[in-house]
Amino acid sequence: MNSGPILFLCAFLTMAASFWGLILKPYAQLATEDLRQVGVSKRLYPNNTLGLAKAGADVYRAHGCVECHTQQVRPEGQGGDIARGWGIRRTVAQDYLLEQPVQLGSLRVGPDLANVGARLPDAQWHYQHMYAPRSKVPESTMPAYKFLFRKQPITGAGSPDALQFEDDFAPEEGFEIVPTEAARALVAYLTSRRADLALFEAPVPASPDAEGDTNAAPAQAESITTPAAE
Amino acid sequence: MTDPTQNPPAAASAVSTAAIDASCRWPLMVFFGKGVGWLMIGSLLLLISSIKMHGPGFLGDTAWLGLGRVKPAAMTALAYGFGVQFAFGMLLWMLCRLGRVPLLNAPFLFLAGGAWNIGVFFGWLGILGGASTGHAYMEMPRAAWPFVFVALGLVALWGLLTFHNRSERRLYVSQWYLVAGLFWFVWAVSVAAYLLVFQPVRGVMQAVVAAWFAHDLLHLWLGAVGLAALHYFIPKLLGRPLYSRQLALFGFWTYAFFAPWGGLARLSGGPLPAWMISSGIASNAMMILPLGCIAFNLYKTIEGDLKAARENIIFRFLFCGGVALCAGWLLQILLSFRTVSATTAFTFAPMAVDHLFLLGAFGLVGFGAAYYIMPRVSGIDWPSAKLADLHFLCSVGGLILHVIGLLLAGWVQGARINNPELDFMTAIKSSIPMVGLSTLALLIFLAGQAAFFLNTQKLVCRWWSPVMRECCASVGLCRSGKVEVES
Amino acid sequence: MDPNTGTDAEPTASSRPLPAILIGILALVVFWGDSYVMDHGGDLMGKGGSFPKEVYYPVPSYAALEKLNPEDPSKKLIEIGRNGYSYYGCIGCHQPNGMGTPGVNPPLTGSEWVNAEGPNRIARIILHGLIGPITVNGQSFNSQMPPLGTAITDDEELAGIITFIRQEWGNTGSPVTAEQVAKIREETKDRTSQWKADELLAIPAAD
Repeated sequence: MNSGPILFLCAFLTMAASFWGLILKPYAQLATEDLRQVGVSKRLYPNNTLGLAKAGADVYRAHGCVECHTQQVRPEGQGGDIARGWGIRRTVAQDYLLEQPVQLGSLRVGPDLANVGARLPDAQWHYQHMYAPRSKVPESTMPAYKFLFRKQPITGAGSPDALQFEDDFAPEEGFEIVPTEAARALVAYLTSRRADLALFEAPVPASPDAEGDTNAAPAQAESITTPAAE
Repeated sequence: MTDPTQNPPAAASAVSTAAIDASCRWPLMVFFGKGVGWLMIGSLLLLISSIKMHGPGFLGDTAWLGLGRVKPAAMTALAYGFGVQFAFGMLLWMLCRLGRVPLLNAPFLFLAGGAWNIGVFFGWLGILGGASTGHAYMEMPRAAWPFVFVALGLVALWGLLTFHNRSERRLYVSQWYLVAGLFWFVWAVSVAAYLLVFQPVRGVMQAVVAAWFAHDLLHLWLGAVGLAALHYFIPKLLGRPLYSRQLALFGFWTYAFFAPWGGLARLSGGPLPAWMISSGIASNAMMILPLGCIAFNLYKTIEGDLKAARENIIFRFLFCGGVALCAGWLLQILLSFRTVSATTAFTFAPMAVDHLFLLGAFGLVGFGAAYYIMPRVSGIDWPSAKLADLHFLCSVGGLILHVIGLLLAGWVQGARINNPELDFMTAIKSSIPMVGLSTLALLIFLAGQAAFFLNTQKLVCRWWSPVMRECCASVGLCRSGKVEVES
Repeated sequence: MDPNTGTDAEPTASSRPLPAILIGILALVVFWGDSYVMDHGGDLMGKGGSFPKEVYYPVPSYAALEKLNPEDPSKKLIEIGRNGYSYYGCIGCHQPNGMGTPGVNPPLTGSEWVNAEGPNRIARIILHGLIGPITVNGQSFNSQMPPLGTAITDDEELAGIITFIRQEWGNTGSPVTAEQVAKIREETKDRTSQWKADELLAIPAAD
């Protein structure tokens, strides 16, 4: 092949084909979706990254939490995510509609956070963990984010947000640790993380430890009497 | 298609290689010189991020040096500061040499070098300051991109014009990869910057664009330039022709058709419809055909001459780079399949493959190319052969240990995380010793790059001081008047 | 240091005809790739299109996905409940296996409160919360449960959750209807404080 124009044509066609298949077609399928009414009560989904949680998403991005944490739950049969309790169902595109930026993550040095708001809803837990990870997870490899907090002398009854530490990690007498705005936002973001509403493309799989002959899988109807019979 | 501004073919015995090399001097000294600087910075930051795995408190007191910032800063320095800059230098030089034309008005390209480095510096600094976009290989914030695009535009324009103005009309294999690669890169990086940084798309499409771009950066740009260099230098150094032009053409076309589709395999297990991920897995597996052809072609070219050629350090770098390319693709194919990725996804293993491509398949080839090109364009020979040997040993040795360490760590990590009986921290802890091997390996790798840096700096200084003296003398700043002319 | 053992001539390539077998291998490879994608995510002639965006691995096709989504009203109630159990945070205290936390959160598995003849007591606990000591399966707990009546506004959804906890983990309770829940909600609409165990024991479990 000695012709410049043919070479250019080759480069163009190969790129155009993959651009169509990997960018244009997925764009039409994924980026044109909108909030959807889901479930019995027809709530809009997704609806969790709003307000302070949205600001927290920015703190998450700015500190590069995505380098060690993922936010995606894999289905049964492709890893042990659901068995480990990281979600009751796999995550799908709809779950990330409101995220900016979308931070799926590609390395798990820390647990997956897609449903951490369902698993660990207590803000105080998160504050303590962020300030001193080893106060909550004894052998944690997570760095301490002390600079997201402020040490201040206790005035009056103390701040309602102050971190309630046990001995080893508590500051000296007369001082308390309080979260800064950034920490507050970040924890609001973390406690809003959940992707557990059943969707058409992601029905919730039956619990693996269902016992006996009761509803082990959605398809079984024998043990369930119709409600009208009662 | 004769260009009247060019030397008429009949009159000149073509332009001499020395003249071509000299024409490339300024831009290439910037690209390679600065590229080595970024290589040092990136390797150091990568080492720091690896050390943090063992001691989270290491340099952990400020936001600037947090792991979440140091790691993307390291990858940006390595991919954009080192990788793409070296690729620019290699592209321009090979196009000039193969086209038998000098680089015209090259000092303008100096602007490109300046703009690129300023842009990458702003981007890199921005990442450390908390402005990262959050997308792997696309972390540089907005401020960096205008400079980056100015530089890229200039390089692309010069590259295309040089190619168009070539006096040797027959194309060699490398030019296919270089011209196509340049086109692919401009397309990919423009689209990715637009859809991720400037007008972010909605939802999980961002992950699609980011994965597509990461794959294209590694295989359609750096990969293409690396292949161009392998096809250029191996026959040249051996003084033999490439085994088969037809096989090379077949390899190029199949590479061009299959390689662009593999990006979404990076998101295996992720929140994307099955067909998207399967397209990536299938295309990665199909790459066995082009890779097989390319590897066979190069192997047959070398066949029988390996022993003699091994004494040449440039050949050694290129050969190891070629091996890294094959190993990288075999691993990439293996890790694509869902049965394997069920264990290896989100572990250190895919990271190992990425590093093998960036630092091995491209890096080692780039080092070899730099060792060949820099003395010729500057007119200064390498100051120290020992430093070059040290660079080789530490680069190859460090890279092998680093990749093995991460692959082992990833396998253990993945298997244990998938076992719900095991506590999560226990799973991570059991992989840390192997990460330790990788950390040690990065220290060795850094030592090698330091050797390269020293050698390069000496060369650049030796080239620069006479230039400085000449420059000063010509504007009357320096009274000694002694000008050493090097050519 | 002499970096060069070759000549400074530019490289050339020999001409060798391409082995025909390579074309055959190419065809095989492309065919394999195409089948792989069609088998894993492709859905030729499927209801959602040939490359459906709803089909995520490992679901094999759009038709299979439809089967996984329960349409039978009796199955649906359990699935609504399974989802609600997580969505409203029950899972955080009572755990995915319904065992709770010893000494802190009572188990639902095998609980006499959950498996009672009817949902009167359990529905009240969920609607308005619980405070103070309670004995479940012979163990004592003394904590509190927050009210969820304003969060779970839909009667069918609450009926689903109650049905789910009464029938999951080996529990043997009967299903509960939206009408039963609506009746209980109406009866207790003026209640503002959390229930106490002895108050609940005074109310019959079933009508």
